Amino acid sequence: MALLEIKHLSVVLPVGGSMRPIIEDLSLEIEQGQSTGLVGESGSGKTMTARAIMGLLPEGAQVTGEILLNGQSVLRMDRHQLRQMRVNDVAMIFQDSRAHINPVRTIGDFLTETMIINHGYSKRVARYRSINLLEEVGLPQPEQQLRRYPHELSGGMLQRVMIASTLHSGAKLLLADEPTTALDVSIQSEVMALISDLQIERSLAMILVTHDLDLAVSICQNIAVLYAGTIMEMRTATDLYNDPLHPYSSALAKCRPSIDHQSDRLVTISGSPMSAFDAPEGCVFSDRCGYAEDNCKTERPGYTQKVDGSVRCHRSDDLRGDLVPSIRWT
Amino acid sequence: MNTATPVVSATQLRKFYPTRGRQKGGVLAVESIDFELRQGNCLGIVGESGSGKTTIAKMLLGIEIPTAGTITVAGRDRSIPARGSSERRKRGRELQMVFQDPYTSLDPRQTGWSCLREVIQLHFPDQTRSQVESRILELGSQVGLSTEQLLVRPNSLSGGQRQRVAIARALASEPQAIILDEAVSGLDVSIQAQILNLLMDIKRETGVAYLFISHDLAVIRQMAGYVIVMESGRVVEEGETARVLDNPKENYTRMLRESVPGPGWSPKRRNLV
Amino acid sequence: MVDFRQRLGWLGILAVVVVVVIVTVSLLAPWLAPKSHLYGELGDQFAPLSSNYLLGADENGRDILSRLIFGSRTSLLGPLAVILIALIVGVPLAIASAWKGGLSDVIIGRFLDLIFCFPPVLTAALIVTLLNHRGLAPAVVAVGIAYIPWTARITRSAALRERFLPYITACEVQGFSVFSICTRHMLPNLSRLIVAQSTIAFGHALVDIAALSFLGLAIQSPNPDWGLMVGSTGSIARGEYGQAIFAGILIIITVAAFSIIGNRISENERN
Repeated sequence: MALLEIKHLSVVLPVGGSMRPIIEDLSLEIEQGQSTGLVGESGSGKTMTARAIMGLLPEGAQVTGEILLNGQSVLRMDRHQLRQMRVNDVAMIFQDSRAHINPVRTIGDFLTETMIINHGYSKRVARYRSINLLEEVGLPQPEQQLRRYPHELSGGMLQRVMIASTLHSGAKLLLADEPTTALDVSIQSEVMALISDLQIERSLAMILVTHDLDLAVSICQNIAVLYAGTIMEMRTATDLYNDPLHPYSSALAKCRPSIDHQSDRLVTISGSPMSAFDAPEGCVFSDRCGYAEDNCKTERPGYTQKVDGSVRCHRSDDLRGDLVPSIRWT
Repeated sequence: MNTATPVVSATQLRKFYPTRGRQKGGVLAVESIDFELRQGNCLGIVGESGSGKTTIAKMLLGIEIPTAGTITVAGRDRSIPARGSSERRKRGRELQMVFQDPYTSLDPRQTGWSCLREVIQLHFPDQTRSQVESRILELGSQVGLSTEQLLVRPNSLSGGQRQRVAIARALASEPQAIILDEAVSGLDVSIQAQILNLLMDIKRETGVAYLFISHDLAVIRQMAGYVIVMESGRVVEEGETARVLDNPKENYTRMLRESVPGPGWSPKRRNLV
Repeated sequence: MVDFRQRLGWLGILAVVVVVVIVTVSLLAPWLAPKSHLYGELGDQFAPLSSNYLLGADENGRDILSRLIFGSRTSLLGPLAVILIALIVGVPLAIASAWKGGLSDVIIGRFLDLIFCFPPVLTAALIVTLLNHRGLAPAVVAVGIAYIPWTARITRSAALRERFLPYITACEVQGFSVFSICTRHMLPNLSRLIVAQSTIAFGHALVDIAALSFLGLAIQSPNPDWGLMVGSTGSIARGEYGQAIFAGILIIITVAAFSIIGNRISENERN
């Protein structure tokens, strides 16, 4: 049985008086120990999907579909069960860790609090355990770090503290929402390496939410490309990059400038990324797709399983050869 | 235009922020930098946070006063801050800027049209109303904005569209050089590509020079012919972009280059400081 | 504009209605007041509620209802003048102070703190004594001056936030004069906040002027004023609470209405 199963998830949110779809018919499966990247631009619904998994959807959200974690339905959990889930089963790392740590308490308090309250550790044991965790995430002088306050630590160090706090819980699923976007480039690489190493060492399943396709392909085994609230394509990472099934995935990879050479002109996708409620009839990508035909504009393609992946596109089979990038991922 | 004279040049530019109060010391934001930017070219400045790249932009624009060194733009010295609005206006016609955050760099109560009109009337007060109007339409089409998009307030526009307005505003005074301070960093990947193409087209059409500040090496590779790598206020390495990125001489540059995800890349853990 | 109703909520709409009614009444006072507001029949002293005196008569036989109706004028005009004084002096001072920063900002700040130390009543007493003249005008000036630091403070902190936003910097880089940046860009973006705070201040100013009238430092007899009516010792000492209660209720309702409107506007500003 898969660790996480999302079946035909749809989320509609109240925005300024009207109900707007943010996620439409999203289906996803994560096996134990597998890492999956959720890649998308603004409006794709990737962050909302992560929040839905955590049971953190905003007030007034209307949800249909199913999210099964270890066979249990997240959407039907009561507050107590959700708390248990967040303590024991799923851990989340946010983009802005500073906003998720109480600034007036020390790092030590932050780490030991959950252990003492949720797992019944004694203060001494909790402290000892915290020091171990800080060592594991590579923070120097862990005993001293326990006494420091969040504002005394840099963004990268604080992110490591957040990661340490997730390790403790024994959670089997790690949700990382743009964990390195707010960090400097050199630190990004390190923190990402840390997350990746820990994920592999502890056989955690991981969902990495990111806008950076290159990063996701480097780290994750599988990639799901989201657009306008649904999954356009899901495949293994290198296959998605080297042999995309969907024009959007292909374009996303191609429109990034290369660090190795200068182009005369970058490949672009016309128009702007949009959310589910702004999307046109038929295929949500049809008004921006260079390959759209008449039926793409009227009929919404279903999410079809192919031999080596899933894709939501009418013309995927025809276009196969045209979508490959100029430089392959090795 | 004499291409032998640089449009923007800085010599021994330095910025030191002393700490206030009794404690001595301070922050050396920019140690000492020299560079030249010529017409039609693009100079890149690469660095992480605290590298001093934004401080350089502020000094060039007169928002910060250099502690030492000289700045020359369009042949005129601007090492001292402008006195009076007529001097500031003159400088506004020489050097402009596009800011990073499209959500705070436009007046939320002003339409793009009104913003452009205001700038054009400031710098070209003798133009008739219809001349101003046609200039606004010209700028709009140059940056890829429809008339409808010019007539709405920024909160009805997407991030990419707002940046287009910001670029049009920078072009409106017909400057010789534009500073782009992380101007595409906050944009979606597909929009980033559109804006970068737009910037390249504008450079080709008008011959304006760019000072392109970014932390993103791929964007720098695409846009800048010459790059300066900065760390903690010091120039670490500089040279032609292709050379610096393909064959970095300094460890820091190499480390930056190796931190960028791409084919064959995997993240590495160093020993943490 | 379309979702005005939604933004105000039923309480907000009620508040607007109340304000509109009071303003209309004050404008149409001469036509609405059934009897004279200045002169009364001595024989009708403390007349009970009747068809002749709808809300009764006061200690001088004057019709209470007519006095309440005419009293609305000073109760609206007074606070309005106070707000205008506070805004005209306070807002430019605050924006200039926020813009320049540094020493001038500190000096202006301290000066305003000094004014802030004196409660309106004290300042009013001072001005009234110095000018040797009582009435609405000196009271309004005194309260207006007292409100300057309050307006300036709120405006200044908002202005400081705007000052360093990129769009203001962009204007500076273009070469616009400081004056035109402050008037054409900063002020419009602060206007919503200023209006919201002013509506709340209106209510406070009304109470402050009423208090001054109560103490005899503002409106003088026989002119009607709600504050004066609340403090009419001629009636209260004799156990006749009618006009005090009615006037008091009107003050509460008006202040509440303005405060609610101000709150709604500032909530929307934040959203």
